[in-house]
Amino acid sequence: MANPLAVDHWEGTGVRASDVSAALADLRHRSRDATSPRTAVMTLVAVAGDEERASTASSVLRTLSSHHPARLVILRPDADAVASLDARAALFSTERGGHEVNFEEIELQVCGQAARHLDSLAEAFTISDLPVATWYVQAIPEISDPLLGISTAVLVDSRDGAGPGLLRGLLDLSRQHRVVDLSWMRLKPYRRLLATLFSEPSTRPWLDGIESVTVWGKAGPRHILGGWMIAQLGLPARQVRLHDDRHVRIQIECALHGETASFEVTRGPERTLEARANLPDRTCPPQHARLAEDALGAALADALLHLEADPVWQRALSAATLLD
Amino acid sequence: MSETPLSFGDGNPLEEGLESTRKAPPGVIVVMGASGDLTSRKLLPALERLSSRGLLPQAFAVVGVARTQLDDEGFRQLMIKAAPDPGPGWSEIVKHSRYVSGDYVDEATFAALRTTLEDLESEIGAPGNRTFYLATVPAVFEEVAAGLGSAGLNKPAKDGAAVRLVIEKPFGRDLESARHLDTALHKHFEESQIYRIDHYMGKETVQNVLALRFANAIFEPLWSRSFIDHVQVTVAESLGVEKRGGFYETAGALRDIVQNHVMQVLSLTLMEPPGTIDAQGIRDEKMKVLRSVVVPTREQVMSDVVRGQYDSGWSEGVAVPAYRQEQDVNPSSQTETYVAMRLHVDNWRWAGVPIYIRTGKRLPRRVTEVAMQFQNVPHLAFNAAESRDLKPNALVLRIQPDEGVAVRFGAKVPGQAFQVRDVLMDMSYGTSFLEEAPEAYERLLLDAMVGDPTLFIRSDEVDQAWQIVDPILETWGDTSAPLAGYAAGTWGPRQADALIQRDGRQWRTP
Repeated sequence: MANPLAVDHWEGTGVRASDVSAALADLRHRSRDATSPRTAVMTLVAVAGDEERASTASSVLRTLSSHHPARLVILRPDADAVASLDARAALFSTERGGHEVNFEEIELQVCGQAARHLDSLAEAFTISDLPVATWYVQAIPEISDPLLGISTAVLVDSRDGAGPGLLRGLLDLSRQHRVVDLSWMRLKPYRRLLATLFSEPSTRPWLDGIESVTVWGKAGPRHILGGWMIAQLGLPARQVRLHDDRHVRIQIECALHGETASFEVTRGPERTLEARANLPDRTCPPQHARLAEDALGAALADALLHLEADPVWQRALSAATLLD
Repeated sequence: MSETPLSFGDGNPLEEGLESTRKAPPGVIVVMGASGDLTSRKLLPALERLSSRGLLPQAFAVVGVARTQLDDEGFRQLMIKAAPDPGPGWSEIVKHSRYVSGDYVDEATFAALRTTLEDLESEIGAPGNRTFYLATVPAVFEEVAAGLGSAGLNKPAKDGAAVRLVIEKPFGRDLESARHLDTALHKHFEESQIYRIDHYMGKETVQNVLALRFANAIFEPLWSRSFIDHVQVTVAESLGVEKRGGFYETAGALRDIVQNHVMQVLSLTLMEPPGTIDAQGIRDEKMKVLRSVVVPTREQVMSDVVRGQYDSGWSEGVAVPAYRQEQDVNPSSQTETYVAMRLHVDNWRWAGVPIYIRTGKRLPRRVTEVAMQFQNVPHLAFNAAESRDLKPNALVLRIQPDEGVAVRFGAKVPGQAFQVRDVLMDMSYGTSFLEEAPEAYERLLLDAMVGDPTLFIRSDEVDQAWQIVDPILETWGDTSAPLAGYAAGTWGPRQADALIQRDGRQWRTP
């Protein structure tokens, strides 16, 4: 698949939202021969605190738009700067499976008090009738952020911080808005493999005999996985131990009817995962999965497919606040 | 949190909220015809993808059966070769897989298969779930079913296990042979064990017909004789018969495409809304539509069906030979490579709406679509010059390639004059959704192993489709029904154009 190419663009400093809309219409008119078929399934808003995050968001969202066409609105708020609105609008074109895919990207640097009212700007650029997914790049929004009001779903990343305060903040946010946690999405292959270990009649009974769960990983992922085990398996928090590590690893020790078994999901070489069940009478063949090369892009793609609150995640989050 | 440990019984709380928890149960898939083209091109790659997506269990293996002399290691090499970029789980499946070499009429083959299965299931801890996939030539379907039956492989070896038989089309050559095959299969297998594959049904866009029709309020009210003028079904191939001349000589376009793919797509498109989107709900409604298709009389076959055969011509910039010059084709062959026909569906919804079907090889491009052509507006208020390019609205369900839905409607051309012209609103399935759709065989293999027959064809559907097609075959066999020629790379014989033009209509250019 080709990287998206900018077909045409416009830039302006000290402009108004209506100038951006007019420029966008002009760009569409000028490029009508080059970008005729246009399909969109949502508006994707990214809120980036600085230029580096904006660049990251822009890069990953453009790639995503190659297969999941959306209008991209990238907001760079700076409430402490002198009031002004600088904007860039561009039309992109790429190809997927022989189809031409076109999308639009609007980047707004919002300075001054308007940075506290991003909804008033973003709403001018959302596509009517389609969902608005708002991604807070490496940040967790304030619950009072008015931009949340126009968002169908809010995308955050619990890996961007940890500790009971952040987790409680996320929990409060999720009670009022549809929150999708990108870290939770990235952990899906681990969760799926672990679930698979108990999916067969010979291993399922061991779920009734869990003695301890140990989760290794960075703060956010290990807390959310620990919380998941507590919530789904009804374990007391004291049975779940967390350790810092670069990669996630989950180990479950079980005892049942005088026998013991262990279950483990570990990270292997070349972005592979391996799940093993060591039963008293045999070691089952290992199960494998491969992690996506572009973890952030894959997590975003997965999140955008669903845009639904996940009650399992909410319960995991709630339980994670009990863990040290 | 609860301090009292919960008892989970048969449930697995860790699966909650994860999609694709519908995975194959522990078991073995037995591929009969394991050294064949279908196995290496479609089945093994589909199994590898299922494995990569984590949809196969730990206790899973493949057993290949074929006449070709191979050993376990040879079959494993075939499995490795069929999946050049395998996921990490494939090697485990390959490691446990086995091969049984033997003739399908030899009882020893099935005895050896039984022993192999018992050993293998004990080795991998599989509970006796067995899926037998008949990827053989159709001529041995009966022998294989009988061999499985006489070895006791048609029944579960253990309580709670399932045994299923998957068979590939063609399901007979005509109504009589289809019924004979059905009876032969039913001697050894219950209908609920038999999964008849039409790979078209595994295509996402065929399934999307259900979503389009029954998840949207805007289309269904228009989906009837009140608004639809006629329906056109096109299944076009740009290729010729390639190296399948020998097979094609015994099949022809009517048997190869119309009796199965076209009837399946048509029944999904025209059926009434089912009470539930499940196997019985959908298959019952499909069956009702097929029963409503008017079985053509001999006279109707002569007037409403055109058969054709391609001559030499130019296809995609290459000079190509006539059908009769293809490898393994009789130089005076009467086999049709093209069929066009007009059918009628006599029910409340579709009475009076002609269904035009055309399928052929060596047509200008590969395309499969169903086009619902709407009636003209009652009165066109624009003057003729302003609206001369305007055609009736059309809703096109594109099945392949470029899967999607397109709506053709009139719009004003910008300017001082009030000129109206057709525009196309095109929803491309591939560019609207990120998730990579499972390939048809991947979907259908998993369905068969899970035991979901929704997308498979029931015995009565096969029978009814043959009842529609059989009079055409009989008429062609008994009379000198003309075989019209058409140049390769064109949209078919002029007789097919005449068929639709005499109703005041014309074929779409898909």
